[in-house]
Amino acid sequence: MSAEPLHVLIVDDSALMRAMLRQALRDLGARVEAPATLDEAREALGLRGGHTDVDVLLLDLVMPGTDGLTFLRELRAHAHLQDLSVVMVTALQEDDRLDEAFAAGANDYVTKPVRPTVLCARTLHAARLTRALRARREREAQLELMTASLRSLNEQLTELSVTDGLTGIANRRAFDAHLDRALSLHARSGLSVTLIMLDIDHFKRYNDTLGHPAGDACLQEVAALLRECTPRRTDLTARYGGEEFALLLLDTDLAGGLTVARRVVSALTARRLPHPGSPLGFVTVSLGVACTELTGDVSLREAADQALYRAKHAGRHGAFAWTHPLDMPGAPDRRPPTPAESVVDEPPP
Amino acid sequence: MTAADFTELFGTEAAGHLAQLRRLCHEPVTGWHAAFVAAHTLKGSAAMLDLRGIRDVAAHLERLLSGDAPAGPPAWLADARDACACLEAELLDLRPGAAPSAPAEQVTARLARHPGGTRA
Repeated sequence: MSAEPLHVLIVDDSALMRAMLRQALRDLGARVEAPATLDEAREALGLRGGHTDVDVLLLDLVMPGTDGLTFLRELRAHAHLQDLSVVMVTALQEDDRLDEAFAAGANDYVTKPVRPTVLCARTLHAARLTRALRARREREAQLELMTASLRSLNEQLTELSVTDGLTGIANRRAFDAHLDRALSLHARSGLSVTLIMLDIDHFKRYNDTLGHPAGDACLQEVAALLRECTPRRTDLTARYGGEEFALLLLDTDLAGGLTVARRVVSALTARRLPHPGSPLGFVTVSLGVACTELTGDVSLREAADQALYRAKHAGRHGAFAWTHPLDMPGAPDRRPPTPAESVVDEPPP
Repeated sequence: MTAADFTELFGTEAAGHLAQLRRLCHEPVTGWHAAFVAAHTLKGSAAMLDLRGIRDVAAHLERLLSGDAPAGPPAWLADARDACACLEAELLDLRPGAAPSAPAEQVTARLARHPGGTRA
């Protein structure tokens, strides 16, 4: 029990009863209020302000006008009075009325003539109950706040764990997870999945010439551009590592993937980001496009990598579509592109 | 407050309750509920001060008034009038802890013969 003295409110239409109950509670050392009107009682119970420090309400069951039951129901409709202990003051032989009072939210009762020791004991018990319930509610509110705060932090952590810190797009971890899910979906439903792996051309030279801060800014520019080129909610734009990016396109066939690849090349060409180390003088990318429609037993990632490899060896600044495995993994593909291999590039300006 | 203060306060309030009960005798239907509340409060207050005669008479009146108001005057109205006269006499001589007076016992016995009302 806190050191704050108990606060008891007596609601009874009889001035005699109010005076006698107050006297009976004398030994409790409580602060006792016994207003003469129900409106004053409503004020003490904070019906308008929504707050009260009353610990126990001693309520006469039968009163003229608004009787105790009606008043009790009125109080219980207020959220801040849900935990207030209410002790009904009744005469004997009112069992049916008491049943109604308990149904309306009364906690206990005392009968007239009221014995001071009984009244004090029941009032003290009722006050303890009120304070315990209020303390629990406060703890629950604190717990809810903490839970909300933890949930928010967890969401931030989850977001951070799947986001590339430099570019703000998905990181490798998120890409791996999305690719696994996409391939599962493809295996289950046959949904076409296209993967584009792309790499900034001559990026080492870029860093060596302009410095790493400029290199970081370049990565950010390219990431933003890639995101603009993959606007569908089902597309994933990820930083795969270093200057390498991946675009995962769901429900997209090879033709659709090549359309996106062309869009990237065109957008970057139009952007003309200066690149002193590039033969063209601006930042370009090479892209490898692979679709589950054609990859068969070859993994989609491997196929896209091989196509990117071909794009690099074909002179960069363009896209290759994967149509068949390389003869020797790791070796440059010397064959000219077949008609089935869609090659995209932009002529130098 | 002293016991005498409580007794004096009781006398003041009881006069008001008695007035409600007397009104019942003239307007048995419209004054029914107010008379019930008056009898109830009088019974409780008298019990608090151990005024046994008043407590017993008021308890029987409360019992008879506990149902819904009847369409016309109840059969026990004459006895209720005598009960009011008895209560008035008792209020003139308040003796906490004393046994009920003979008139109070007689009125109580007469009221007890009437079946009580039932709450709606």
